[in-house]
Amino acid sequence: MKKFNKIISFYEIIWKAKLPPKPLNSLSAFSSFMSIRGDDISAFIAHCRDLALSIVKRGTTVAVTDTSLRRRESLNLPTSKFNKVDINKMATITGLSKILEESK
Amino acid sequence: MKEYAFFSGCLIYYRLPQFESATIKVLERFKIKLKPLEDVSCCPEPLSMQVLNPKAWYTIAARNICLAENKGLDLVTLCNGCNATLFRVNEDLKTNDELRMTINRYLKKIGKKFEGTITVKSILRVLYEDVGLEEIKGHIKKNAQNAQNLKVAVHYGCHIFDEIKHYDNPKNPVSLKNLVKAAGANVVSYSSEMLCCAAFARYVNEELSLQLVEEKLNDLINVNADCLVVLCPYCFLQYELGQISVSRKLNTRFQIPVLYYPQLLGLAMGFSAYDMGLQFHRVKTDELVEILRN
Repeated sequence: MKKFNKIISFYEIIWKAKLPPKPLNSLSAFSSFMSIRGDDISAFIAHCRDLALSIVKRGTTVAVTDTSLRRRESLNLPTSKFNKVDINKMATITGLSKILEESK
Repeated sequence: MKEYAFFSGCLIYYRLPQFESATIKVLERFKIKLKPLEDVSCCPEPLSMQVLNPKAWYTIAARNICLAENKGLDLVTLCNGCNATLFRVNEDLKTNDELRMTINRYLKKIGKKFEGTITVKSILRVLYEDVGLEEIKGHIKKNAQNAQNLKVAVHYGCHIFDEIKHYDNPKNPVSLKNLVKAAGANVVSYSSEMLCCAAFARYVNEELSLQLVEEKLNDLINVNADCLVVLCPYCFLQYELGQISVSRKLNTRFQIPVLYYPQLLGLAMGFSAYDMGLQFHRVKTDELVEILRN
């Protein structure tokens, strides 16, 4: 159990906790890990909400700055922005926007 | 020339574009052209959306997959997190008719439809399966034979393990290690090889997250690793910037270069450090490049 005192790889958690190997996804692994540790998951949920909000607002989890676009230009890479219009629509029709609104 | 659509993901696109440019240059040598997808969004990030609303996670990911389907190209992911989302969504929507119908109802409202006509592959899988170890070995520069003096530790990253079971042993993976060896370098094993980078945990419990970075860095020092090779931009930031945070906290100085695998491969193929974008790294890589060149 010593290893469960740390966040070990999601994959290892699945195996050691003898969870069903399929679907092997990080969500089931992470939440299992949190429950094994007995952690308060409110900080985890709050971070999930922040990320989702950022995706809905900007289409990306990362802040877009002039510096980041300049670096792309210097490497001859395209600098088009991520889509946020469709993402916003999909957040509305799937009910994600409502969840984000209610969890404010 | 084989063509793939590629998905660099938020972090590489906006913070670590040198990974994108290094990968494009390296794959061109293997006659693989990466075509950028326009109008993409975040993959979306595999944890947050699934927690809050799985339907939104499937729909937004399916929209990104539709963009590659429209080009008629398989999709390569450069980030483990993007692979975790796009690979899983693509597989689930191909095999679950009811789920596909539900998601297609949402997609119809933005004029798109998931057809299930393409494959999503990580950069690891493309290099390991499509290019192959022998082809890679044939592209290594003679002077990079000194790379055998380079002790490389690898970190697969948790999110690659959904896909990896299709071509490697997830309990004891060798694909990345073999790719490092194919680049002429020496692989060193260490006890915390499968330890999660804990990047996500940084926003939940920063102290714990940095403890785990420190544990891995100490292990790397114990095996005299010259560098750590990763496949994921989140893992990269956790170990690169993370070691600066840990160094400050412990009043010590970790100096372990961290490379994205295509960067290491590119150096061994004769690309310059500049071409591989090493000038953007916070932890200096000069000694590493010197070992490869001499």
